[in-house]
Order: sequence, then C-alpha cells, then structure tokens
Amino acid sequence: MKDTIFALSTVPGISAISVFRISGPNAFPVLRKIIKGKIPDYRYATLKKIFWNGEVVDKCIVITFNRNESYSGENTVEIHCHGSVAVIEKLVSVLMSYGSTLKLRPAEEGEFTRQAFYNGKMDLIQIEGLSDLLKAETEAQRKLAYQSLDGMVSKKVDQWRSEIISILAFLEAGIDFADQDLGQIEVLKKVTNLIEVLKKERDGFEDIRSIKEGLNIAIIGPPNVGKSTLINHLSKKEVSLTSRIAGTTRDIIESKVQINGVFVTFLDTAGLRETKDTIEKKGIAAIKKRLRSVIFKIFLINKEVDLKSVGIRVDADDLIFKAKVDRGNKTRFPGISGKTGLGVREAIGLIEKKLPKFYLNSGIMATQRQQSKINDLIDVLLGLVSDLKEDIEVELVAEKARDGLKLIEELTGTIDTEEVLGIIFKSFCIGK
Amino acid sequence: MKHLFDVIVIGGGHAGSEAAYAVSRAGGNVALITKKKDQIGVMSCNPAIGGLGKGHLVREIDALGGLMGVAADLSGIQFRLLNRSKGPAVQGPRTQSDRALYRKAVQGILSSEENIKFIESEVIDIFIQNGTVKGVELEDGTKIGTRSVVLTTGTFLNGLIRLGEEEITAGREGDFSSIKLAKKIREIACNTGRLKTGTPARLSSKTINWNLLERQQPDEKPTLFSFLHKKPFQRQISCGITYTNKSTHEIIRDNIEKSAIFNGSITSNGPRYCPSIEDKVVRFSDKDEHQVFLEPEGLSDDTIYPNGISTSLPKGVQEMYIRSIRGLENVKILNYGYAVEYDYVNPKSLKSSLEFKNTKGLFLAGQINGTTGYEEAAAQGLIAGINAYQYVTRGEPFTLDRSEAYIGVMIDDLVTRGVIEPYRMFTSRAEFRLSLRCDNADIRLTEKGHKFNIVSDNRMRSVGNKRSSINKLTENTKKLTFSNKELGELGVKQKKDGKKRSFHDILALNGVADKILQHLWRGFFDFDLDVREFVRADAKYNYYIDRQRSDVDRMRKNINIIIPKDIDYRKIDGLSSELKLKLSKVNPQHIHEASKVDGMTPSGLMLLISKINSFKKTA
Repeated sequence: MKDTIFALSTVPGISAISVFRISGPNAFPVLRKIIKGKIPDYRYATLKKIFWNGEVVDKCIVITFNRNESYSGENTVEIHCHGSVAVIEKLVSVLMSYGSTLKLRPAEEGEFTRQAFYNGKMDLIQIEGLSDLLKAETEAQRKLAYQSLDGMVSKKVDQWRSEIISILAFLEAGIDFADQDLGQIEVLKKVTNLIEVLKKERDGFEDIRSIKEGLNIAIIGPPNVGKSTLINHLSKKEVSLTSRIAGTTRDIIESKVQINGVFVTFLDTAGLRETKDTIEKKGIAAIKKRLRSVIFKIFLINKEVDLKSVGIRVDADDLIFKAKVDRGNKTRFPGISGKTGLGVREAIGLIEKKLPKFYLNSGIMATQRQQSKINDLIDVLLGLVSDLKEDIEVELVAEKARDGLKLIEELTGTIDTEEVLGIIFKSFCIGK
Repeated sequence: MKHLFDVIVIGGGHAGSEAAYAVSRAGGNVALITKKKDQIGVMSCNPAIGGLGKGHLVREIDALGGLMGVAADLSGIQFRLLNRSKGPAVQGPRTQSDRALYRKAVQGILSSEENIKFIESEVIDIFIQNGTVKGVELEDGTKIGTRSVVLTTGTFLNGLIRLGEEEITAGREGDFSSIKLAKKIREIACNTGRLKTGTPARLSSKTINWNLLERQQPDEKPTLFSFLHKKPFQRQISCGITYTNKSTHEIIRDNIEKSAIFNGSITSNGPRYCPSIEDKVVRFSDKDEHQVFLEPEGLSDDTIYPNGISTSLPKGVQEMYIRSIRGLENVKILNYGYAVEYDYVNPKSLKSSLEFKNTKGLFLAGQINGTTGYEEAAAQGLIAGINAYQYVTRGEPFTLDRSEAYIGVMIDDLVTRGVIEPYRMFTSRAEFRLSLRCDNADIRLTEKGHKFNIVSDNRMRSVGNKRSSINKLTENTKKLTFSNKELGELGVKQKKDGKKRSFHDILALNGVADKILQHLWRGFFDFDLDVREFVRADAKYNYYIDRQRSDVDRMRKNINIIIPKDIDYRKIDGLSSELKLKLSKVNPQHIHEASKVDGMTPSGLMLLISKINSFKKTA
C-alpha cells in the first residue's frame, strides 16, 4: 500500500492557528487513532480533541475530505491546531508514532501536489501557476499566477490544441479522402491565424517578465542634482521601498520599489564622463550594458547643457526634469524640488502613467518552459506555412502538424511528462 | 468427441479465407465451415480492393504470404494508384475486381491447399469447457472436435436487412442470418453491440446511357498488389462517373421519413466516412451534387455497382431517385439497396493475438470485431489464423506493433480502444506513416512471416535479394556527388549554398524528372523499379524517419513492459477508483495497452509502471 503523508502546511512559529494536512489511504485510520468518537462528515469543520496516551494534546478543528473532493485526490484530513511551537512539535511526534503501523511519514517537498497531478486534479500549467502564486509578492504577479492555477490558461491552450487538431484533420482529409470530392480545403488561413494568436502571446512574454522580475528605470543626472532625494520621494510617497542595495558595479545604486503592484527598480547613475582611466572605462561599459535593460530613463538636470555632458542619449519614452526647481527653472522641462517637494507629485504621476505600457499587453504563458514551447510551436507552424507555400508533399506537412500537437501536449503535460515532471517537482516548492 | 482439427474457421468471407489459408501454410489441419462453398471469397459489397490505407493492408497481407493481393491481381480490371501526386507514403493501390474472377481466384488458391477441408453447413453452437474451446455443433447435429476456432461471421450475427419499412433477417441479401450462434456468442462475449452498414442498388449496364457520362480511366502503368506480380492479368476497363442533382436530392428529402435510418428503426451507428445518400443529402444540404462512380462488377457481367448512393429507402423511392440521375434515366435495377444491422463483439474483449481474453482457443476476425471492409477483415483473418495455430502448437503469438505495420495499428486500435462505428483503415491512423509504406511492406514483414512458416522460401529469397539491392543502391547514391553548378545547368531547383549534393539528396528533392536523373547517373535505372522506389522514398523521408525512430524506441520501451497477470489494480494507490475498475475490467497485457484505457492519464501510467517494477523486485 502507498504511504500516507503528512506535513505542517503553515509556517512554524507562534500564530493563532497552524494547519496539518494528512493525505493518503490511511488518512482516516490515523485520525481515528488520535480522536475519540466518530470521524467527522466530509467537509464539515468539527471541533475535536486530539489525544495521546489518554491525555489531550490540543483542541482542534478537524476537516475530512474524501478523495473525490480533496486537493490531492486522496483521502485527506486537515487539523487546525493552535499555532504554538510546543503544540506543533507534540503533534508531529504523535503522528510519527504511527509511522510504521499505518505507513505514515512526513511529506517530501511538493508531494501533495504531485499526488494531485497523478490523480488528474491539475495539469502542468496549473501546477506551475500554483508555484508562482505561492511565490507572488505583488498584485500583478498574483493575478498572473491565479489565471494559471484556475485553469484559464489551460483552457486557452486547449483552444489552440483543437485548432491544431483541426488543421491536422484538414491535412489528413486531403490524404485519406483524396478519392472523394471534398471541395476546397483551406488550411493555410487556419494556420496563419493560429500563428497570429501565438505571436501575440509571445509579444506578451516580455511583459510577463516585467511582472515577474520587475521593470528597470534609470535616473540619470550629474552628481548632487538630487537623484537620491527623488528616489526617496518615490518610495516615501505612494510606493514602498523594499530594498536598497549598493550597486555591484561602479556608479550604480539600485532601489527596488513597488508601484501599482509592479516592482520597479531605479538605477541611480551619475552618467558617463569622457575618461581615459581603464577602470572607469570598464565601469562605463557596465553602465551602458545595464542601461539596455531599462524601459525608459529619467534625466534630472540643473541646466539644459547637462543633457549633453552626461553622455547618454535621450529617447522618445524618456522623461526630463529640472532639479531644485525651488531655485528657479530656466529650462523648457518641468521641475521638481527634493527640498520642498514642489513638482514631485506631478513627476510621480508622469512615471506611473508610463508604466502600464510596459506590462499591460501581458500574455498568459508565465514560465520559461511554457514560453519555450510556444516559441517552438510558432517555429513549427511557420515551417508548416512555408511547406504549404512551396507545395511540399502533404504527408510531410501533416508531419509538422503532428509535431505541433505533440508540443501542445507537452505544454499541459498530457504526454511525455516524465522528464518535465522531474524538473518541475525538483525546482519548485509546491503546495506543502 | 475426438479432436479432428487443429483449427476450425467459421465463415468463408475475406477473414475466414485468409485465416484458413494461413493455418494451412503454417502446416495446421483446418476446416473451413461455410453455408455455401461456392460463396467463399465473395465480394458482397463494392467490387474493389485496396485504396488509401486499405492498399497498405493488402500489401502487408501479401508480404506475409496471404491471398488477398494475389486474388486481387488475378481479377483486377481497373488498377489505379490513389494519391499518385502525393508522396509514396500515402499512395494507395486500388483495383476494381471482376467479382466472379475474384471468387474463382480465392477458391482456386484455397482448394489447392491439402490441409484445408471444406464443410458446407451452419455452425449453431461452440463447445467450451473450463474456458477452453473444445468443438462446434453443426445444424444437422454433427459435433466436431477442434483445438481452436476462428470465428469470422461478418454481418451474419443477428443480421437484419432493412429497406424502408421492410425487414428481413439475413446477413447479406439472399442469405439467412446466424441467430443461434449469435445467442451463443452473446453468452461468451457479454460485451456485444449493434452496428449498421449499407449497400446501394445494383444496376443493369445495358440500360445505362454511357454516352452521356464522363469516364475514369485505369492507370497507364498499373500498380499491382502482390510483390510477386508485375503486370495485370485481365483486360483493363474504365468506369463511368455521374452526379446526383437537385431533383435527386428533392426526391430523397421528400421521402426521408421512409428511410430506415431516419424513421427511427435503425439506431445503431454506421460509418461516418461512408454515409448513405440520404445522410449526405441531409447533412450536406448546401451541396447540389454528389459524385457517383458506376463500377462494372465484371468483364462479362451486366451488373453495375453505383458507388456513392447506398441507401435504406424503400424500393419505389430508390427507383425514382436513381432514375433522376444523368445517364440512369431508363436504368433497370437488378437488386435494391439496403441497410443491414448486425451484432459485433467489442474487440476490447480480445488480446492482440485476436484470441478472446476469457476463452482459450477462440479467435475472432473481421466484421464481427466491428471493422468494415474486405481488407481490414482479411488482415485480421490472417493474424487470427496464424495465432490459432500458434495456440495449438504452443508457440508464441504472432503480433505486430504500431511501428511495424498498419495491421498492427488496426489491431492495437481495436483491442485497446474498441469501436463505436465500423472501423476502417486510414493512413492518418498510423503515427509512423512515413515508414509504413506500401513499397516496403515486404522488407518490413516477410522475414517475420517466414519465421512463423507462413511465407514461402521463394518469397523470402526474393525479399533478401531486394534488400541487398536496396543497400547497394543506397550506398552508391550516397557516394555520387554533384556541385551546385552541375545541377543548376540541368535545371534542378536547389539552394545555392555551394554544398555538394549526393545523388541520394537529389532523389529527396521534389519533382526531379527521370530524364535529369538519367543524365546524372544512368546506372540508377539498372536497378528494379521497386528498389528505386524504395530508395527514393527513403531519401525523401530520411530526416523524418530518423526522428520517428526515437519515438518508436521510446514507445517500444513502454510496450515491452508486460503487466503481471496477478496484478491487483485496487492496490495501486494514486490511481483513481474509476481507472482501477477499468483496468481490472480490460485487464491489459502490457503498458501500451493500458495506456489506451479510457481516461488513462500519463501519470496513472507512471504509477502503473513503477508498481510493476516494484512487483518485479519483490517477485
């Protein structure tokens, strides 16, 4: 018989409630050993005393789930005990004492979720969504992950799957029913339409990266112009400073803040100066490289000529502000003052307004694995289109469609899951 | 009751003939019991053999020494290679056969086999003791002992013919249906269902106005079925093509409620790919015409088979709509079309040897397993026949997997998925389509057949010769190379990448004419056509076949995991209770079969594999 597993599902430490989960064929027999009276009805939260050697360990809420309704697809018991270190330790030792008689053991990492997958409760995309949800720190990350977990993404993938199946079917019909009068079979249009849909999805990959990893914005200006003060304002006002690390490379200070549910990292740099110093040259190369990752730049200047002296090009999306505007503004740009706060609110408004442009087109393929499958799929379909145009034999074209179908099935984990599973369950801490 | 025979074959259709012939070749003594001996090998529906997917089956039967390809060649009167414009993997040979000559050919081949005894009777009972076949009872009460039985009763089990509101109990026009036997089969199988199929009216050729009609010509260079034959034996003829029209459709629509299919008397499933004319008119109401092929049933036969208008409408309506078709205005109907409903056994109750899972020595083949078509039936007959004899001699079963043959694809589909409509072969069912070709059926299968004694030494030798020619030609074509410039001058379309191309590479290109090939290397044409075709196809599909090979390996790895007979699915935790139930019911022999169980998930399969592994360790 398969093992029954248990784990503390909440973080250990002092809290009002801690939750234990027991899943497996002996989940109910285990419960029977530690409570008195009958086992609570499925899905009814029931107050029960937990006993050990005739002595009460704790008074807990106990909920049972039969396997058709549980998360893991196995019989499951949840015990909501008081969140104290002593209670948790006692309960673990009580459960462990049934280890050999009832084949009960602590769960491995991700084991509940692995069971859920084995039992067809979740597909791969959903599991990846769960993993992302558990790691989500921002609102945008939560939304993205929940779409996956909820099966919305799987549904969309299913649509693509049926599209590919119908493309394949059309090609196959031309082969197997060539002796019949089928009329015009239009496959090309179907394929190009699907490619368009997938490409749109791919366009969203960058946005998803932004949501998951954050956006970079550079603040550029001569020393002492008030860049740090601006960042302080950005973080004190409607944003929260989560970290502030001295840059690893010369002349860059990074500040990570959250704006409207998205992480934004401000790169604080003094700009580039003409130099012959080799060490400084290396630093400049690093800055230039770093600047390639920013979505836009904010220039903070004293006078217009500073724009030239910092040695960095101004692009269309960039914002330019006159610093220390409390001392007057002779430039054509809006001003801010770190000292009085003049113009800061307006500046933040301008920055916020620009952000959505860089993540709102977000697609739904959240993990690299998913994205690489989509890329492969697009390649396969593009190959299919060129085959069709070059009048390659239809059985070879169909072979491409079959490949496409295989890719989709790998995406949701309906085939060839062995490898994928191994990787997933190893690299994520899932649903414990 | 003494054992008189190694194998008794019940039924003399395409499955039964092939089964009896296979047993006889292997050296078994076999009785072929059929109601009418002169009906052995009869083509009861359309007078044609082969086609897409089906042509592959016939080539495979031939590669295994079977009779269908030979009989089709001997009687073929219009050979056409379908999908000629497409690649070799999806081309399918087809012929129209002279019905009388086909039957004659089959009967000729079978009657020259000394191991076959023909018994003209009806089997009304099969004796089974302790789950093992012991014998059969004939209608006159005679009891015959046998070590095994191959049951190939086609549509005769509880066959019910319907024409409008008329009902006739029969398996085929003019024959009676096997009701008693059907009852017995139901007892044994407990998992039977009903299917339907249909056939069109037959027309008198003399009364057709051929001058009004398009013709379909046979191929100038005919492609035959048997690897032994190069040229047709009969005069080649053309068929007529005509079309239904608006008024045909109107007549059918006006009388639709009189059709047995539409008035509710037939509820069983018919094949979606071979719809009756009333189905076509209703389902594709936007089409104003449907093609009808007028196929002669023989060289000296007045009967015409109008392919494309099968029906279950009453006689009067048939007459009206047929006469509304161009060229058929004054046609005389020789026999009316009808729909036939019949019992079939869910093939999931069979092993891949086609033996019943719960009755030793009882094998099933053909339409009784839910398939349709002569070729599908014959292929199963061959497999059932050889396996019946293997069972008798305690040899290992003869099975083919999905990467070896279309026959393997078909039987795997049948025994693992079952059927809900009559099963027909298509090339799209074969995932390894590019390697399972008509041109290499002999290379794929003949050696294996020889090991089981169903292929003659002669055939075996000629395949050996072909193989060495192929190897030689392949080697030569890879050695011989040409520059971009040389090829460009000959007008070969290519990427100008400065790379040299081998003759083999050039064979893979599209549309390089024989003339150019001749110019490049005259010696190519010294090889036989079939060898050249093989190498050319291999060159074309090389890249794909290599990739598929890794899929095959992976699949084989799983296929080969045998599930221990005493495994208790209830004890595999993690499997849903539904799957446990289904697995216990299906009782798959190996992992591959388990993977086809409805609702099986890859993860469930992994659990099963790991269970088997742990089982092996403890055992």
